[in-house]
Amino acid sequence: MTLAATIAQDLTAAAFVALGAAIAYHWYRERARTQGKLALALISLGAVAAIGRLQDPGRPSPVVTAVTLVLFVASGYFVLLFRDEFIPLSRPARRGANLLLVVSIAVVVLDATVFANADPLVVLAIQLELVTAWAIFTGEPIARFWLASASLPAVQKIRLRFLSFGFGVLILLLFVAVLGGAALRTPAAILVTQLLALAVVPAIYVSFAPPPLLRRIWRMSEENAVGAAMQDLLIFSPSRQVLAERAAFWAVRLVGATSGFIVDADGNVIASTGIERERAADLAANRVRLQDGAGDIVRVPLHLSEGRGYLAVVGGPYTPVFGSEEVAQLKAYANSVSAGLERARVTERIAAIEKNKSQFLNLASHELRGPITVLRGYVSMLEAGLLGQLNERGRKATAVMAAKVSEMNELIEEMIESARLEEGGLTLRPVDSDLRDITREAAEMVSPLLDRKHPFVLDLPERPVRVKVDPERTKTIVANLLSNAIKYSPRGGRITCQVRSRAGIAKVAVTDHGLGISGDDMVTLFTRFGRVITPETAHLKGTGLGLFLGRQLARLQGGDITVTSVAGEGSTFSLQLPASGALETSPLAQPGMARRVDGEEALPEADAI
Amino acid sequence: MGRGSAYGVGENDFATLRLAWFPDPAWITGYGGLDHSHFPFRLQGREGPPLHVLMIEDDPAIAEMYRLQFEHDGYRVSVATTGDLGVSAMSGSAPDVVLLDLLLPDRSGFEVLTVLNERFPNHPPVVILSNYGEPSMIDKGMSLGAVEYLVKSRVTPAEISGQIPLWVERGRRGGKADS
Repeated sequence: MTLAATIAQDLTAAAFVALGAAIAYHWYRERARTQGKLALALISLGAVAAIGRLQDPGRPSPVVTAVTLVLFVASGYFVLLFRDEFIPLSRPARRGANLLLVVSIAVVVLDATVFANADPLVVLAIQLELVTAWAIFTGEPIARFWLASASLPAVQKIRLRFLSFGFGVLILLLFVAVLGGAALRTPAAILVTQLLALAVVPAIYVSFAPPPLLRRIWRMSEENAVGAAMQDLLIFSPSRQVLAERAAFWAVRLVGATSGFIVDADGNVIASTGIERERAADLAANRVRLQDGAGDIVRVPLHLSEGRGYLAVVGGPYTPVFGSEEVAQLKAYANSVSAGLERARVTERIAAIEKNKSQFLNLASHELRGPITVLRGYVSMLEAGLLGQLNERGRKATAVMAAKVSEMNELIEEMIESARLEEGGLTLRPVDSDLRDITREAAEMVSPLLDRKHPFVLDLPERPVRVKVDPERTKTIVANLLSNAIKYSPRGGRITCQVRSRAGIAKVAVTDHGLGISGDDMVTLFTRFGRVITPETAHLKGTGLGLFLGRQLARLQGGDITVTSVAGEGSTFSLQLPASGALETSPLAQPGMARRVDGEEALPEADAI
Repeated sequence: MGRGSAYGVGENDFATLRLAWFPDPAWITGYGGLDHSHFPFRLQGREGPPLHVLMIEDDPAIAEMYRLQFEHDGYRVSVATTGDLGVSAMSGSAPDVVLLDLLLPDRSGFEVLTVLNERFPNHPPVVILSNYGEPSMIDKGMSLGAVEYLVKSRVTPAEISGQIPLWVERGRRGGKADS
């Protein structure tokens, strides 16, 4: 047992020496200025352990003992200095600490000279004084670290907690050793205390220099949150301003700083968090310096199209050191932020252009209604003979004018509807309807367009097809599909209009045997003004708004328009709407769900006919 | 399967096409179907002096066109080119129906209607004729007591003219739209 205790003592001492050496080496390599004090504390502690074991316990040298004790006190004092570096001490506290240091060194000197061979009570008092001083030097910082760690990112938090844990155990062991007296000099007690001390070594080491693997494990819990935040940040930020503010917030969170701000390419502070905008602007312009004791300010560049801005994080009293790891992390983060800011700028620009366009469309179309009213009015009066009788040529000319004016009126109405749709001013008035009636009325509307070349088949089911839609607008959609079918089959061919309801989806399918649409042109088919212009269609009139509006109106009602087509053979356009009684959230309500634009499986009905 | 029911094959004549593309709510919520065939161009079998139509309209081209149609159909027509002139015209020989434009040089048609409601509680029926067909404007017009809201480019002078006796009748009954 005694042997085991001795081995444990040797092992612990060796561990502390190794800790000191490892940290000295690590510190030498990293040169992290702010971690220097902690390194000195741990190296001193290692030295104390080494000297303690190397000295012959039978004949202790007073000088060596004094040096050991000074090193011991110094190791505590260095921990306090480390704390001072990132949580600055108040002036009275620093004075008190210095006084304590001086007193403790004086006590050591007295111990080696005046009180050498003094009675045990004095020795106990001296030991108590030294241990208490050490406990004060280290205890206050570790309590602070523990509290400060709560608001920090995972890695810093765990590092600080390991440090607090390690020193906490050491303090406990020292007091137990001093006050325990004879009871603790049994080999069993020594074995237990030494093993406890041994457990402290890895805790302190990982807190000082956590291996990458451990850091990754610690960060794992936080990575999802940060990942989600990044996605939220970059994709869903409604504006550049909001994105910048969120980016600043997460930058601060990421490295555990107290405040941060973002400076745009033009030098203006566009977002700040934890710091007032004016003060951030002052810092950005180097008009003020940070107070003493506050942490570093780290700036990482943001590469924006207008120039270079930067993201700055400011360390404060509770901020641990900004190491190379933090800076690297911040740089990677800054790249994402740059991309996000650029995207937001482009989006905002596009939105502004879109808005202008809609406003123009709206204004222009309403302005056009005035002249068209007069043209249409006079033409109708001419036709009615109210302005005098016309000869044959005059009547023909009037008929053509009437047709053209109607056409123009139609285009204006489409433009207004489209502008209204984009401004969100469009109000649908859904009522319970039978899709068969709507389709029948739509077919009646286009019946004047039909001729001998275009046999028309209206295929309706026997049972009602209940839908809750705006009947007028739905009729318009179907009529548009039908008139397109006629328009784009100039050589004729059967037009089929089929109404069906299946699996909660009511459908109107309009099939023609006309020009068809090639795969490449499918993309522009549903875009605004997206007419498919080919030699065959170039002479056909249209704004290219019909399908765009049709699809938008269908989607507003929870449906969609889909198309299958083979160039040269014909097309089938299907209006799909949620059937009444189906679930509120129809699968069709999700855009992109039912978009089938492959020409391969087109026109199954065509083969049957 | 209800296959069949082929529609009549007509001539591809655009002049006869009356597609109600993207109908304005004015068209939907109003009376059902303005059509040449439904209304006589002249008041038939009506005794007494001709109906007096007051147009508050600043565009002379439009006012002149409507005057031509209305006078042809036997109405007496007067035109006010501003809102103020329109209001003062009310105190003279009271018209039987008022056709009110919304965009006027001095004030909006809505303001004119509000003034009419205040100063002449028993004013004749007011029909709004506008270039705008926004649902919000229609709702506002109707809530201010207009008997009808029409989008100009959607109706021909003859269609308006044919409706005038109905509006006058509706005004006499003291009701608004019979909806």
